[in-house]
Amino acid sequence: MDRETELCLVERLRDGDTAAFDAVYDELNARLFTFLLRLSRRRDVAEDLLEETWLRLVRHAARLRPDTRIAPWLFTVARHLYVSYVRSRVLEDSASAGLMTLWPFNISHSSPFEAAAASELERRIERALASMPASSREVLLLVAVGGLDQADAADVCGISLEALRQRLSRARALLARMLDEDVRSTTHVLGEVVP
Amino acid sequence: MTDRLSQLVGHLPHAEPRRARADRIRSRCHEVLERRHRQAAASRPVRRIWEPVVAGLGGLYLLAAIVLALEMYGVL
Repeated sequence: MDRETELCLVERLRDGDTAAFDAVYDELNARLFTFLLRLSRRRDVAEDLLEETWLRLVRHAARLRPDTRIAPWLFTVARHLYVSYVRSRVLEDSASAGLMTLWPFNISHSSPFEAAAASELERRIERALASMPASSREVLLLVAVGGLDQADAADVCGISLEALRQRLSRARALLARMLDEDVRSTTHVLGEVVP
Repeated sequence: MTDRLSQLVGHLPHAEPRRARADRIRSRCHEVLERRHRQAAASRPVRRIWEPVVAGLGGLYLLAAIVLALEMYGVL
């Protein structure tokens, strides 16, 4: 969505235009839901938070500033709602079993072998993401999945750009280490099974 | 390595909420927008009348205060 279109949509949203809402919803709903799902690791929670995020947008629509940037606005609200949820429920950070309910997704690959390989890698990344600390996970998700630039992601998290860069760098390094360990443990298990 | 990892994370498939839930979210949001739009449209004529009245009364009050002050200082 280019900036001109976004400004036009904000103006129409301020007037309560449902078609403008649909355009924003269609553009951002999947990204927002993916962010919330990977952050919360629970589909029911992610759906509740998603609904509340969109409701906040429409309830606040008339008071949106004309130069509002919609994606960072929505991700900020979504993140705040998730933080409130965690605070209220004291969510355990280690429960990752629900993650596998994310599967299957519709992905088209050129061959069954490539599909299996890609799917295995994606599963490993999902597992690693799920076991990362929430602060590392959220910066990775905002930039890589949410498509926000680093400055916007820093605003969403309420930290400086430099702090975000450091957090992102640590998150990437942690993800690489986790994937590496995952591969090594798989190789170890295979070594025990295969003579 | 780390940049490639970011790309891989970015290329993970997007998830979608269940269809029924997505439709419910959309319709609830439409309801809110339409209600606000109706309320805004209904309050527009009232605001068109009241805003000049309030501004006029404010102006009269200010004028009276100025006249009173000038009388107190003997200018008028």
